[in-house]
Amino acid sequence: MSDESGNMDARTIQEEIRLNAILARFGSDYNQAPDIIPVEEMWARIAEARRPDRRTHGRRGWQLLAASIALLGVGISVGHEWQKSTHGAAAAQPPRITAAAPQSEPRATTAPSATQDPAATMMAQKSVDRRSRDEPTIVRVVRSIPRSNSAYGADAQSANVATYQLATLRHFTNVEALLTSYNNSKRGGRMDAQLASWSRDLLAQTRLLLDSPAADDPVRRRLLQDLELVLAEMSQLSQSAPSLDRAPTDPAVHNSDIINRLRALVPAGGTMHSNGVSEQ
Amino acid sequence: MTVPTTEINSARSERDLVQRAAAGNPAAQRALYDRHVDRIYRLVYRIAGDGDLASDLTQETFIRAFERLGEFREEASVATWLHTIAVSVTLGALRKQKRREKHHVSLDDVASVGKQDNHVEPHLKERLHQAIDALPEGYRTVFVMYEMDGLTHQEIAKVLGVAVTTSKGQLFRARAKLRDALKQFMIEPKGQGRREAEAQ
Repeated sequence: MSDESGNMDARTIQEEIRLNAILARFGSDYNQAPDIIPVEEMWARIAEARRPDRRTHGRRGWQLLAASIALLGVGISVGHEWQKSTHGAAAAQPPRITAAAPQSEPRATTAPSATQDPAATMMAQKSVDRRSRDEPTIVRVVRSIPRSNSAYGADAQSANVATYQLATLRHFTNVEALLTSYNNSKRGGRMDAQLASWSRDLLAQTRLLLDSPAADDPVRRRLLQDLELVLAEMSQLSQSAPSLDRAPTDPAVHNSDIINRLRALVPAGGTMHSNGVSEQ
Repeated sequence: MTVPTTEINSARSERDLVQRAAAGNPAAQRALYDRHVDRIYRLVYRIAGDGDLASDLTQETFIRAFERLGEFREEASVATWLHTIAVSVTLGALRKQKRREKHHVSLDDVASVGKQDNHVEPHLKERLHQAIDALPEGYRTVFVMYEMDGLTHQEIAKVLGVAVTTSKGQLFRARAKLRDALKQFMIEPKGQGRREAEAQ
């Protein structure tokens, strides 16, 4: 047997030698690209994608999508208020999705029809309560969300979607705090080791979210991917390299764009305007 | 230890190229692309295992790189930086696509294939490739970059945003899993080693 420090017994050493021989013989064939690669074809597509009018259109499209999400949240709020006023308290169940208004319910809630499945509702509510009380890490939050919805149906699926959204928003808030702290520390001319450690934690959580249904939304997925890059660069920084020589790019330069995009999805005050789920 | 003059000149010319490309010079951007596309494409192909996907992801890599070129610090390595973007883009796409489900072979399956003449070269090659496919994503990525792309652990750590010890640990565990998956091949038959050496 052998351990990770490299101490191997004789048999393992022999197996390593044999594995090296196998890799030398057949390893290079693994997923080997053809001799001729489509250089010109790829460049043509890159050039096309980078055309100024195409890039502007892409940014405008993203901004339009973010604005649509905000409008949707306002619309849901208006709709619920209208329903309460026209149908009366007896007919209307208490709204389970709250709006982004400050006077809305303090805790995240589930989809309106989730009351038909009390077990799923209770499960989702418990996980939200736990987060509100104990501020657990995103890791525990995401793992607590059941991935398989087949046993519970569409109502629980809606609840899980909302819970993933909450987890993502909380993560975005943490990343925004990190980036803001980093920018402030950079102005002081020094990178705190704690920030580097924090960025590594957030990098792991970002990757977890990328692997979850939270990344199904294209806007969020793109933001999570960009966050992964920025956090990977920041995690290479440390107190021993205050001049940031080890970073391929200066993360602070890119941070302002990232921060703006984060704030578009998580405005100040801790409330959100996507699907009307709120948190305080 | 002095750095060879050719390396210094090469680094200067790349810095100059990056500056001009960041300023929007189309010829410089194309030159930067030509300089790195081959290695990036081959790395992406190794991880993704599909030509069309490798093309798409290579394009995405360079698109994102050009978007951020203005922030690039001259002292850093362009190759490492591009590798970082390429791996991030590729792993993100694979997560999304869940491509590996169709190629997924558990290591138990690989090891339990019927007892044949396991030392026949094509069979060994297939088993090796299946075993690599069956590695967990993190181990496989480090393994491919180290064993096939020739990156050092320091470079891999920078690309993945992990510690050097993490890279070493993941490679160690990847190789342990491969040894286990290929245990039937670990004892080479008499003459096999000579035959392989002659074939090389």
